[in-house]
Amino acid sequence: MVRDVSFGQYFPTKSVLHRLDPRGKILMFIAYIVIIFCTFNYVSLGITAAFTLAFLVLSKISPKFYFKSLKVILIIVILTSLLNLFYGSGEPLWQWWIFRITLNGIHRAVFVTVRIICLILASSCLTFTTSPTELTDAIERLMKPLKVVHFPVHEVAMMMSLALRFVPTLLEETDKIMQAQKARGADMESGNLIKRVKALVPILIPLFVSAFRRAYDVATAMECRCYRGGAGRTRMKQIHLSARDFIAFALTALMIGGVIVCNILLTATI
Amino acid sequence: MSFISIQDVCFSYDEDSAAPKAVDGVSLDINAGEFVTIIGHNGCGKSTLAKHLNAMLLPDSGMVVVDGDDTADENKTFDIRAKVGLVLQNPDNQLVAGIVEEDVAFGPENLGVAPDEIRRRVDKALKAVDMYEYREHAPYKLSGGQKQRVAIAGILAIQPQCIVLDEPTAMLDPSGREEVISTLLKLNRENAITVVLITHYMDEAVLADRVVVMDGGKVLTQGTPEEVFSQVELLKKHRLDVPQSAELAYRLRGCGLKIQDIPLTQDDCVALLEEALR
Repeated sequence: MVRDVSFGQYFPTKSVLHRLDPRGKILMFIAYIVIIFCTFNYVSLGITAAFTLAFLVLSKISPKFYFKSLKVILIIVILTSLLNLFYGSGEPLWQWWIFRITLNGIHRAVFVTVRIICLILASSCLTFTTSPTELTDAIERLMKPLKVVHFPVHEVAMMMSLALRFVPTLLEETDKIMQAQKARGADMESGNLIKRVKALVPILIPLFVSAFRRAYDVATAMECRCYRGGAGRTRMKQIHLSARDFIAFALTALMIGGVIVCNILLTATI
Repeated sequence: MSFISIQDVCFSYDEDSAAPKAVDGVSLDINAGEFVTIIGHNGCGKSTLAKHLNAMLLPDSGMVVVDGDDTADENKTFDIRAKVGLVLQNPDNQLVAGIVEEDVAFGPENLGVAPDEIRRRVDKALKAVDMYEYREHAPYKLSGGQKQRVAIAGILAIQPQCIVLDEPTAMLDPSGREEVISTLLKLNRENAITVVLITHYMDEAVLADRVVVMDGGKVLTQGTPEEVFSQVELLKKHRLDVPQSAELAYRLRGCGLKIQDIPLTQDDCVALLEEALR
């Protein structure tokens, strides 16, 4: 059902990754995204994939949840790899009508598949091991320099954390509304695409109305708890860099270095 | 001097002065350490009155004084909200963080309390509502009663002297209601926190030191549960419920059975009937 979404969830398994500074984790994640698209041969691709697997093992979270998050993007992976498979250049290995498979195409398909899978696994790993509050707290701190240009850093971070908090609640609500509309005879499973999209309207309208009511309630509750914006707020969980963060930085640097060296020394496969 | 003093408060959501007022000339004192319940129909003004107690709403006329401070004084707004915590009906909408302990920390974080002290307060508040084992859970995985207890812990962490609860059990199942009410009784007795409970469950109202009955924005009657619920006729006239045992005793009395007191709980009722029938 709709509720069966593991992306964006947090699992408090207290692993080494949980104890890393969330700011460091975000920065390392950004570096990781850049580097995974800079892998041009199998050795460097292997290095990044190995590091990804190491993250997953270190997170102490059941592989079941990683598979779940992969399931959601399965179609995208298949589609992009097929596109790449048929759009390679060079001598065709196999040809039928307009479809042409080349060695280059196969390489491309493998690269794009591994890259996307690694990307999803790594981002799941980040959200699984970092609580939403930590994540937004880190983003707030990383964006602090933007305050100079009057960017509302605290407000944006607060909005993000509230949005993350209410994802499961709103999903549950969508489920309830769908069931209520079905009970009144709404048909959401048959008909063509346009019909199905139209069938969503009686779900979206009550969902929006209740979301706005909810927002009003949440604001009241926040005011009741003395919320008055970011000024003068303190945090229960202090984040600071420790030795293990520097070890993590060193490992990330090692991965980046390895990929760059491989790219220089070995010829590019794609 | 009472802790909260409500003096002839009128309030209307409508700008139009001819429209009926939500709260119409209410005067009420709430003493420190008291357990007060406010009962009444939907739309009788009890929720509106609750929002006056921590300066969420300001009276159109009259005044509300909390621990010596007028709620209309803007400089005191946050001092008042730190003294009088308000718990709302829907537990889902009161939890703002994705982890229980981080949610409880939200209040003290807003007040700028030092991190170590926040940790101490969060642990204490969670233990007080028996939710310490759930401190690292995600709120949406808890039951309604558990969520509402976390919401109460979130208010407790601000260390208020008084907690006002606006129908906290309305969306809960019987076991959730039981959890919340026993938590409130414990807080009132052991931690000497003043509790103002707004409810429409009569069996919750009878547990209080004092019951206030509201109707049409006015206070209809108030007193100890025995005093209030023995006025069966008055309550019936305003279409309010009385506890079942009180009603039974009242009707039997009407039939000529000699029952002196009005019982409020089942056990009292059984004992009284036994005596009367002997």
